[in-house]
Amino acid sequence: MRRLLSLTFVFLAMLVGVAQHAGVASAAGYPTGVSYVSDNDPTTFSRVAGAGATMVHSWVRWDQIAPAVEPESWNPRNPVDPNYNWSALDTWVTNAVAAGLTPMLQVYYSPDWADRCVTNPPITITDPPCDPDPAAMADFGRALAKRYDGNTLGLPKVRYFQGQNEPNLGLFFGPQRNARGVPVSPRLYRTLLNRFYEAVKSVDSRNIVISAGLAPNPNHWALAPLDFARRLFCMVGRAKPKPTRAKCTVKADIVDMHPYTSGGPTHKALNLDGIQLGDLGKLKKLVAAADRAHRIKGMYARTPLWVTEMSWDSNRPDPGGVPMNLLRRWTSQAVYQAWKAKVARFFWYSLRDQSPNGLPWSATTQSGLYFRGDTVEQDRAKPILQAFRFPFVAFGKGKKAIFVWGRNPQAQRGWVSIQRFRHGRWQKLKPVMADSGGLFRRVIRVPAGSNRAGTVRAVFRGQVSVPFSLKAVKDRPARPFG
Amino acid sequence: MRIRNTAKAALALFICATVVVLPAVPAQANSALDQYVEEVPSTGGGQNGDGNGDGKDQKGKLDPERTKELTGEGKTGEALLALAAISGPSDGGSTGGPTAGDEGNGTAKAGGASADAGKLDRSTGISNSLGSATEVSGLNLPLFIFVILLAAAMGATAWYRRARGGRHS
Repeated sequence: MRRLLSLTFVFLAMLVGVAQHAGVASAAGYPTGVSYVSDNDPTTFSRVAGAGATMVHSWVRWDQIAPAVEPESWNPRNPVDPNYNWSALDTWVTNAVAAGLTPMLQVYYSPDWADRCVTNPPITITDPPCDPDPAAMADFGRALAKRYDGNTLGLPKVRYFQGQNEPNLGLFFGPQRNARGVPVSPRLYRTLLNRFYEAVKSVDSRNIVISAGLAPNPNHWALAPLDFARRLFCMVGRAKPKPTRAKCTVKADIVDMHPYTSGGPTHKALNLDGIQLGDLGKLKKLVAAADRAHRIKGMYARTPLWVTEMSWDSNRPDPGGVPMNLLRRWTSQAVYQAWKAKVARFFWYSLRDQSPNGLPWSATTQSGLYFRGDTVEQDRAKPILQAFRFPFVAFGKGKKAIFVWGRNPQAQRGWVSIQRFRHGRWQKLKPVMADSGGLFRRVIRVPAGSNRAGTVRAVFRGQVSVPFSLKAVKDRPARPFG
Repeated sequence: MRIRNTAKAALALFICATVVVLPAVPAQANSALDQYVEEVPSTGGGQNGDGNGDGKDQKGKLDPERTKELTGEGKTGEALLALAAISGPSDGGSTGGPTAGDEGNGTAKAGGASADAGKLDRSTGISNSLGSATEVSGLNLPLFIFVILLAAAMGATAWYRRARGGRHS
């Protein structure tokens, strides 16, 4: 009997181990989120939840929460040090959690006193972090994680923390290269991230640290994301990535990518090292190789990949944006495309359009799920909201079948009705069972020759997805921000 | 005949100057969001070499798969390929030229575009000033201006001679 018990115990332990190695972050379902939600009123969070998202992401302006001039005497590790000003963030976190959302906090920018260099004005107009002191960022990370550990001042618990934004882009991190033109940002960011990771984990080892999302394209101001990631993980080789001789480890639980495209959801970067939505497999391959080489030290044996920013500007209001009807299709398809590339979580950027403030449309983002009104209450839902809330795609497969994929807004198990509009009415096709995370997919047989005609939709407990045309739509050029 | 040759030479000079010099001029940046716009890479190389000096990989070339796809996309694709062939960023743009915050090349910090907490500052507050971020290669701009002026002078000479010739006849 004792032997049986011990065998059962060993078996259970093995199951737990396998679950851990499989990456718990990518457990059942396919959670979505909305990123850069900066408003902190309850209406905002109820709209995020109403968009079918379970996660909400915001920046934490280190340069604004910390004092502008470093005090002679203070304790930057102490979350209640009077020199910190957390008030806006406290409200944000409290209201996000009250709305049933899981918050994700991204440390963004840095106070001048923490920077160890100054940026080159012609390029870095935004005053981005310039080689911030890793020790200072670690102190702030520790204070941040401690403040939201669930035991401080009655504030809620936060588990997800991200270190900085797009460190391969001069707009958000400097320097990118040294005077000889050699990229230095991957090395600098690695040190920064590792110290931040240790600090956040020292508060609670169950906290999850996400490496900064990478910008998609190389250009005058940016290193190519795949090039940056290879250098970050000390790997070489594009086709078959392998570790360099250098001793290096990157501490991160999740890897993040912002795969904005220059076209539709399947669009690939022209540059070999660029990563747009159609290229996510390249990054996935590199991360897998880095995992095998033990270059990434995180809580999962197979480091999950997240997309915390993706969108297109819509027309209207931005005349350079993607026409709304096409954008409805692209929104659903983008969610699907990321899932297909084994992305564990997908975030839309962002909830509401940006105020043009007299600037050209191309200089502001109109990629929100809501048209911007004078106040949050006056914002109006865009037609793409339902496509994000209830993503659904359908493609002709072979000659007499349709492949359908979707995720119901409630993220619940149950039968999903699949319907096709032909000859002036909606006809029911075979229903599909959604898993416990609301995900469903199936190949459905239809009469030969009819699988490229009409539109298909999914219906789940009264919720109807945006109809998806079976007629193939060609990729076309589109600037992500109009 | 001589007049016509001069005019042709001027035109050829202008076209060559444009093709050679323009790729070295980074795209005009009107806003920070332009940093998300994809540039067309060179088919011959030049941008974003492989990490850590792995010489085996092709440096910054257009993805062979993409080349194949573009070839299959008819005229548009071929035009894009042709554009890629002539407009790839120069080596200076990625390795030699001054790029974001060169190490040890510190100067005064850009006058802080601190955005208010409630607003996303991905673009606001920085858009106006980033226009000045567009950098023209110090070597190529004077050359470009010189060649343009030379071509203009040659064109004007040809026009003047032609006009005079017409009057005499």
